[in-house]
Amino acid sequence: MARLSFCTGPIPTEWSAGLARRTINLPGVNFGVNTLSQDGALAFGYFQSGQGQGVAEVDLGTGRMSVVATMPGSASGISWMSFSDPWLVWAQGDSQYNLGQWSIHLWNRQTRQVIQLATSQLSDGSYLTGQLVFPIVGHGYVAWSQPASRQSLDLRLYMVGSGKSLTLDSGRLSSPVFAGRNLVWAKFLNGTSQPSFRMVDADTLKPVTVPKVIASPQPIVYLAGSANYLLWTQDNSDMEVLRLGTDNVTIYSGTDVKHPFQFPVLADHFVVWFAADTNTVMDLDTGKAFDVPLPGSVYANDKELVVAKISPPKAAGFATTLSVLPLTNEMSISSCSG
Amino acid sequence: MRVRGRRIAISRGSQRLLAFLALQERPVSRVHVAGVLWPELPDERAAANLRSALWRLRRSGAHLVDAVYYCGPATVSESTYTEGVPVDQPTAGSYMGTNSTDGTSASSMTSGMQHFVGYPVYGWYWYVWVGVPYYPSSNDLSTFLQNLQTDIYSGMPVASDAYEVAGGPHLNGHPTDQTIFHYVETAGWWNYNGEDLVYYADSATTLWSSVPPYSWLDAWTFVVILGGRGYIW
Repeated sequence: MARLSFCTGPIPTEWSAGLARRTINLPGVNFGVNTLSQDGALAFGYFQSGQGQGVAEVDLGTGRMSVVATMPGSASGISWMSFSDPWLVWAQGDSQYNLGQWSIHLWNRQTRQVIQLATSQLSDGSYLTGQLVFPIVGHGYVAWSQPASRQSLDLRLYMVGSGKSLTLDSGRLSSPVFAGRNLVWAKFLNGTSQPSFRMVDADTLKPVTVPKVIASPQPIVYLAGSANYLLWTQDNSDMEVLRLGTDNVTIYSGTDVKHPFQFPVLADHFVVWFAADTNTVMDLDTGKAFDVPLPGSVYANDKELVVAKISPPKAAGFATTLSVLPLTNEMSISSCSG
Repeated sequence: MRVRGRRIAISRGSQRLLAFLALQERPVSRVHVAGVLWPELPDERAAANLRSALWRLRRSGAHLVDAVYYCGPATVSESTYTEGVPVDQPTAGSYMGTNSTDGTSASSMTSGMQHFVGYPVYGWYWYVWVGVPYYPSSNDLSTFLQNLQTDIYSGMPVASDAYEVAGGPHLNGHPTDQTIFHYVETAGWWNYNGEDLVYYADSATTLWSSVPPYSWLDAWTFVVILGGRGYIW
């Protein structure tokens, strides 16, 4: 098991120059980038403007923004989003006073139809306070962990073709991710506080043997997956990454209170996350990272990194500048300050 | 161990950790705790044991929050377990008039902290509301830290009223693109390498929670998050 120490430094010069080369201005709106199309042509995310708030799509070629759906003023915004052409799924916060009150919505880019798949409300009318959801879409379905009771979550799948739903697992579950060919989630072994991984083939939904090297994981909080990696955070201060198809696990540690490991998104050999007071981009090969200051958001996939800088929070007026940087396998983050 | 009348089983490692922390008068670093509890182990291994003990403690149910109520009653209830007469969330929520549309107002929250924490401990009116401007200044930060330290040294928790906005700083585990109004119990302060940090308890933890029950946060960031709302000390 390899270990890398996390550290931050300045953004590499070539990255900064690349971001400055391709920018898109969105006057009159604050836009947070929450996901990208696989080909990097489109950005999707949460928007606020003088007219209200909702979900929008931005064509990164033309710079044109179009509204996907609006949400009421009482909604808090978006907690997670996922896109697999032509489907966009998002978790909408329905209360500004309760993180655990949300709904999941699915939009078809071809038909422009939006449907609501689920809410977090339990059968007795209450909510699991603080229970966030991170829905994903791909392989013909939407998958998420649905509160079923005060003691249990269901791993639900909604088949986008037939409209049918099924429950794949129940218990104390994490949100699922796609990693390689598999759908992966974490689960507490019954009656214990020992977590374990569960995997099924993402297409057939047949169980897959969990690699021995991750058979007894340390605590698991967040999961992230990509074509080549499975990532999980132990708590805010440690992160582990398995290179799929190998027994290579790397532990990243040494983060500080300003860089809690949370909301990770894998992009090629990088990971991007919102660290409460900054956005951070880290190279998985080196453990070195740079920050993208707030206000704004950052998202990346294997094709590109998109930075959204918005007008100051709690201020009158809205404006966003998007910067787009193509990612390649040769790029790296190789130095830290200090 | 009993928490709010319920028997909770916790691991041996977590028991040692709890006992050690209960005896500390000041916030202590992870490095120090790990070194004291596992002196025979290399630093990395001791740190791993500490992480595991903390995580098992959190997941043991010791800090599971009644799922019915919102953060206002949860924060008051948590505060009464720090100091005051322990009260459950339904009782606190009923007293403060918490509702699903508007949560708990600042005045109701102040009244709740006073009724369940301030008055039972001191017999007089301890808590007041302090508003923080939308754009806090360094003076606002200094005042907050002074007030926080005063309460900590008196053994009294502070209730902080966060106003998180999309694209701005958030409490740990809270998503970036959401506007969230949230109360947290603030009960620690530490100057680490010249930087002021604030320790708070977030009640929004549950079955598979990505919100940590306890966090350290940069003090300036914390005050920015309070901007437009305030705190009760």
